[in-house]
Amino acid sequence: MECRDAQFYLRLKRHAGAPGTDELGPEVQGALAEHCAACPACAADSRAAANFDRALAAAMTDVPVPAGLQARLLAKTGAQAATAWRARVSRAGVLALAASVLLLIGLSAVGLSRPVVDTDGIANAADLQSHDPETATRAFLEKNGAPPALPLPFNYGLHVFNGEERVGGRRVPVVVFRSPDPADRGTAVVYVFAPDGRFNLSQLREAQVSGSRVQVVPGDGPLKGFTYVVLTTNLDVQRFLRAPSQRG
Amino acid sequence: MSPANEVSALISAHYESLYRYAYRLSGSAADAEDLTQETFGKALARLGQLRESDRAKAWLFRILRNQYLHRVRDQKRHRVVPLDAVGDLPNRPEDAAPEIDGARLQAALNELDEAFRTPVILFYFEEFSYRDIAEHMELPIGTVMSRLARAKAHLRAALAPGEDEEAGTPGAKKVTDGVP
Repeated sequence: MECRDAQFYLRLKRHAGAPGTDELGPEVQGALAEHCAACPACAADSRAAANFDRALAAAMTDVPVPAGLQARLLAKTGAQAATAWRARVSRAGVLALAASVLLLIGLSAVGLSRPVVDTDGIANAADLQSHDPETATRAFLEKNGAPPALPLPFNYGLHVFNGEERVGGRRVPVVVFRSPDPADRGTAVVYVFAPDGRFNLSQLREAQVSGSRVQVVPGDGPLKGFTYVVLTTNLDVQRFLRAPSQRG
Repeated sequence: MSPANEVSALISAHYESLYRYAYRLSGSAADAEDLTQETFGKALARLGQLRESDRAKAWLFRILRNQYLHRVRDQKRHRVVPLDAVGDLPNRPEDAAPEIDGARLQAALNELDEAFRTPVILFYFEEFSYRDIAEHMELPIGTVMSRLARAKAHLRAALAPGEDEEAGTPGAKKVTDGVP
């Protein structure tokens, strides 16, 4: 290495850094050290540069940090974070309030159009249906504009429930009984058709397919005008009726 | 960890070195504190940009420098002479380790244009390599090495015994690379 190169590298060398922080690399460092060992002038420059670097590095970082700076920074940054958070919450709050108002309006509109659910009524009806199904069925039929009786002496001990089914797009009251034999899982469903002209009942007839049997029972006496269709799961309807000895 | 807690951790780890950097850049304790505060404020707002936590210090130093540059952009007070006016190395410097007074050092730094002041400050905050400084200033590494060498030469000249009267005096001229 020549003096000119040595002077160049001395300007770039990190003289005061921790070991390993000089970026000249081991090859250049070795050549520079070798040159300085043989050249008193460059060696003196190297020592002076090292002294200057050490002094400058010490002076550069010798800046007193004001007392309480950390606390002030934490306080100001905390306040800034809190302000940002409040702004976000405020924005979110406005949005939430708007959403709540819309929801309230929506619920009110929907609520106004919906009927009130009478839980007491449901409980009482269920209680009556389970304890006195015959009375419950009479009440059900009356409520649906039908005579309070069925055309056949059904065994109310086999009664399951009263309800409605859709027939031809219209709701029809039904009374459902179960088979006396739990093993066959059979049912009898009695459809109650009113003489209100909503159905053409003149074409009704008995029917049977592989799994079901239909019996048409025209109303008579107090039931006149009504037509009852009894659908059973391929069981004789007699199985759902009271024994002759039990009929009043 | 919430953003506020993350910034609190950054403050605890780096506020001293950031303040010292800010002080050496601005030459004023009040400006240094403001810059440090603004830096952490920006850091809080941009925390999502910090992807590698081990680069936090470099990231914060860069934010601080940008804050500083914004501050001085509109208040440049140039007393410009080309850097050619500054010699590379003083002839045969003294062997004894010099004592460098902090105020004289700051006065000498203030004479340097920011383009030269920043690399020399960062260089003596030993953790910053040439590559770190180059990334920090978005400059080629060769430019950084060149500016460093010239800035060091200026400081050695300014801080040499007998130079007390010139450094930091009102009439002193700012050292730049010749760009007004």
